[in-house]
Amino acid sequence: MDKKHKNILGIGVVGILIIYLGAVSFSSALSFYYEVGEFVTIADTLNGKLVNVNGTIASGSTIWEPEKARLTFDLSDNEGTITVVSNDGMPGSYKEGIPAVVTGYFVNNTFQATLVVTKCPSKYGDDLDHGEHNET
Amino acid sequence: MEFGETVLTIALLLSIYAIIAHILGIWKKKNEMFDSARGAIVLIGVMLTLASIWLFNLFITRNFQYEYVALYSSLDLPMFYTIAAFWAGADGSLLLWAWLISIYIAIIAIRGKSYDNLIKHAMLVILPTLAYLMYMLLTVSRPFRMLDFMPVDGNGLNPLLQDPGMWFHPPTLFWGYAAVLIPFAIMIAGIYLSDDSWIYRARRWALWGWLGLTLGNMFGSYWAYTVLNWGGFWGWDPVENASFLPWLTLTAFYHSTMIQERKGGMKIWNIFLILFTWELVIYGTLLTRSGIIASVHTFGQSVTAPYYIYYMIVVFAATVLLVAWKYDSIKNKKILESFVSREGSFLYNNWIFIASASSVLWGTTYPLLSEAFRGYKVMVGPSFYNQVNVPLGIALLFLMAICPLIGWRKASLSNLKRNFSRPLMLAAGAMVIAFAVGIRDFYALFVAVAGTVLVISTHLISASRMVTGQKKTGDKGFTKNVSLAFWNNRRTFGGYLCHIAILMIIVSAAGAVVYEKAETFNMRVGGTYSVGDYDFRLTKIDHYDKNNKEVSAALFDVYKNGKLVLSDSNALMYYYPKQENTNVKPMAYRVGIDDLYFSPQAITATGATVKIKVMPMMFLMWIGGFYVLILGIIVSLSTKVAVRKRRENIGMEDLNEL
Repeated sequence: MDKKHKNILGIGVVGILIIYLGAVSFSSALSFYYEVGEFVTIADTLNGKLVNVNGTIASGSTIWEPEKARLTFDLSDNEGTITVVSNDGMPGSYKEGIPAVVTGYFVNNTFQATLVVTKCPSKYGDDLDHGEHNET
Repeated sequence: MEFGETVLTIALLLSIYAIIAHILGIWKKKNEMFDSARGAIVLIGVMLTLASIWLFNLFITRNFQYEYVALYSSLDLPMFYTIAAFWAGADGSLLLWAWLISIYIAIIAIRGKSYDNLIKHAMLVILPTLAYLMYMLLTVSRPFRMLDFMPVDGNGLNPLLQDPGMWFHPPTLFWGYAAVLIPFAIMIAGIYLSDDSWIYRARRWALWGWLGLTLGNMFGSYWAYTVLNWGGFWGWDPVENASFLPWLTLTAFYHSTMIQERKGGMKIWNIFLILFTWELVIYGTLLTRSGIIASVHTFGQSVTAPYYIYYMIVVFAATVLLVAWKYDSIKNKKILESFVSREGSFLYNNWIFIASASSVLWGTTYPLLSEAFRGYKVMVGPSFYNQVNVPLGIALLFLMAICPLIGWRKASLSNLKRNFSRPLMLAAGAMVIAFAVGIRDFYALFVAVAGTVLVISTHLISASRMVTGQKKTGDKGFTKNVSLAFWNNRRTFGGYLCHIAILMIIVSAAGAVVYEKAETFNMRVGGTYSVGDYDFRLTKIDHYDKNNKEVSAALFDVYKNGKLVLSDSNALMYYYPKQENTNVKPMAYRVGIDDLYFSPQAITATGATVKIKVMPMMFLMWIGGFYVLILGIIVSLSTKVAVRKRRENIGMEDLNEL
């Protein structure tokens, strides 16, 4: 084998190694993403796997305990509701009635969230305050 | 018709006229057609400037009858943010993008003398794109859409966007987005005309775009660090990735263009790099507008997504077909005689950037593909990006150490010995000293210490050779020799500054990750809590109103070895009554080489729960990214590589480039 082919072989080995490491780290970094209704039906089978659940923060469900930095709320959609507990303080832009994605583990019928990401409602058109006498 | 839309309609008609005039001018070979087309292009710039001033005016006068103004501002929003709300939503961002493109092409049209055949053809890519954006602004993404009622108040600006970063991050990013269109269009014109000089003509616009993207990413990173409470400078957020992707491919493009300039190689590679950069700009825009990925940046469901997807497909298909048609005229010269050579280092550099871009693109896109083709949703965590990109970053660091001194064509053993023995000895010595003073961590020893010494020493040796070369042309004293060497090799020095900046960013990231110390405390006023070498004493809780928000503040005095090093540092939480939102405002203070980072989780009347981090070296990231990198790009921008003169005047030191 000449020098050029040795170099190509060396670079190829490094390339394959990088792709292999990428593939291994990719599979370990993947976590499933469910809607609340889907999640409720399979929650018991997850065996403590890290998952993401998307739903809407239910109105009137928030319990905020600032001394413990603990936030408890219900996350729901049309097909189910789960109770979420986060010990990581108040997430940015938290508000009842808006969509949120929670990441964490389902333990003892409670979702222990390691991350709560609120989504900003962006299409506000219907919510604009019409006022009483300002129609044009 | 509403004023803004009238102006946009005129601009759209002008752009259609300019397209027709260009086609006729090229077809009939009539120069007067181009003169009138150039006039139309300048008028498009004027019209879009008028439209933008009109939108600013609507925000300033709080005209809530305009839906866009009502959606993104409110009566209680400070004027500072009311003006910046221009680009808070998708419609205004699209107008900003179109406005910047129109200014760029107006500058090209006004300058006139460089309006040659290449630019004339490039305009047939730029103008249809601009017309397409304006069509969207008039149909599906309308910032001037009026409501049939006058709302009492607007909805206000997302509290996370109420930060001075709002003035810098989106405009700089769109400055880059707009600029990338120009080199892409010049490339298409170059292939069509079989004119290799496109690479020279595209260079400065690519650099200008790179400057914008670099600033946009740095401002975004600083915003994430000081506003979004992600606890760091980079969260691998999907839309954050979307702005990083074109930066990676454009960085690769700028490096490989030098090989095409000097050696006539990597032509197809360069074509696809600038194509992918432009496609990734559109892809980033698609991600931020379609709402398909949850992120702080996304603007929710939108009808514009198909418009971006169709455009991406058309651009990709047209470029591939054009390359296939003109393939014989794109003659690639063989550039690689040896893997151990300057050319080889450029090639590896490109592979690293492409590998990084591929991994980020894959991680960002996979959730969409999984949902579309496999029927289930997944998320890709930051660990994937870190595990792939940290080794690539380290490889890049050592490549930067090699490239200034390695020989062109084929580096001989004597060349390697002569150039690298001193830097390697210095690096080994630095590692021994670092080990002796107690540094044991792999990243700290090999990356921060050895990598830094290697990169700096090889760059200094190369710079000193340039000064020596200058001295040989006539010794004018040390200061003048250095100044002249710098001035005559600005492009090289600009590149070196960029390398040093990237070194600073890599070292700071390694330092912050490896040596970061973090603790969360439930604190009482008067209590003292320790993190690393620092003691934090909670002195006071304060609540007050500021502009449109209620502020809760926990104040700390910070001690190191018993000595007060920082007083009245704040951990802050904001409550916005209008949006009924509570937001954490992380605060970072620099003490020596450490950043002290306060991220409160709750603040009550008597105490606070606060996460405190001690992050060493973070200041290097901001100095490197904001000052050294930007300075390097500006210095590189100040040079012009002439197509013909270049080969005649090429000197040894000209070869030592970015």
